[in-house]
Amino acid sequence: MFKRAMSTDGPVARTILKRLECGFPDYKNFAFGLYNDSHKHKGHAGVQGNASAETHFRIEMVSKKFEGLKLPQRHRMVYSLLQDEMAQANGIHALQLSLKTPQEYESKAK
Amino acid sequence: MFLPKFNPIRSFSPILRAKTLLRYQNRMYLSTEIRRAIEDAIESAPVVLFMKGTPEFPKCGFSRATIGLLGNQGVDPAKFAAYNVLEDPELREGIKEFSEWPTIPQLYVNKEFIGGCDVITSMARSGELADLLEEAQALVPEEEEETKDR
Repeated sequence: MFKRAMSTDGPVARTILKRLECGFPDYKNFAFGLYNDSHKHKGHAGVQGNASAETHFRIEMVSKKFEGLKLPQRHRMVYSLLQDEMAQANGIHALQLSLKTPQEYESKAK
Repeated sequence: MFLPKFNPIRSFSPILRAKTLLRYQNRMYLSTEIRRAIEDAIESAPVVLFMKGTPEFPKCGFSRATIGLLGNQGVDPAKFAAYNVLEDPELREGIKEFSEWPTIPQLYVNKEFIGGCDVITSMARSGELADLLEEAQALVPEEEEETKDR
């Protein structure tokens, strides 16, 4: 049997993309990644009894909206966009974020 | 600012509205007593980490990674305190509201909220974390034994 890659087209992932589009309309102009890492954490203490295959996500996003903001402020922007999904018992359990401005991304890429 | 003040989808869904209400109640749930207990914890050492599990036995990969980073930086154990949120549901929920940060671990240095695992990882990479901890005088002192001239 082939192992199925964790999909990023489940309902939670789709909601994430929708929310990001509202909050950061420019993110599609830049490099972007949404990763579902739930399989790496299957059944560990924090998600026992949570059968959802969409508990652990990783987002790599670039937006001009991050300009002039420190990292915790950038994280809070994304957290507050997704606060409903994170507050639910069966919702997002962990969210890894890499949030850069276009300039930061460019200078890293070179 | 970036979040529309009024989300029409929300107001049409009674389920979502109930959830919002519930969250609001959670927000009220942080009593002065718990707030004070959290403040005491934050003041208990220059470097304070709220984590899942203990430094010896972390119960979550992100808590483990953060402990590892602080150890690599050479944080002085005497200046460090860790609190296991899994032992106390009031702390676990309370700290999220207190810091306005929805995930664990959470790092405080000199009573100031620094961030979670991603923020700390990125600060470690850029050298900011070392600067911050040095400024807070939270690192193990360099070998001073041979220069006892004072």
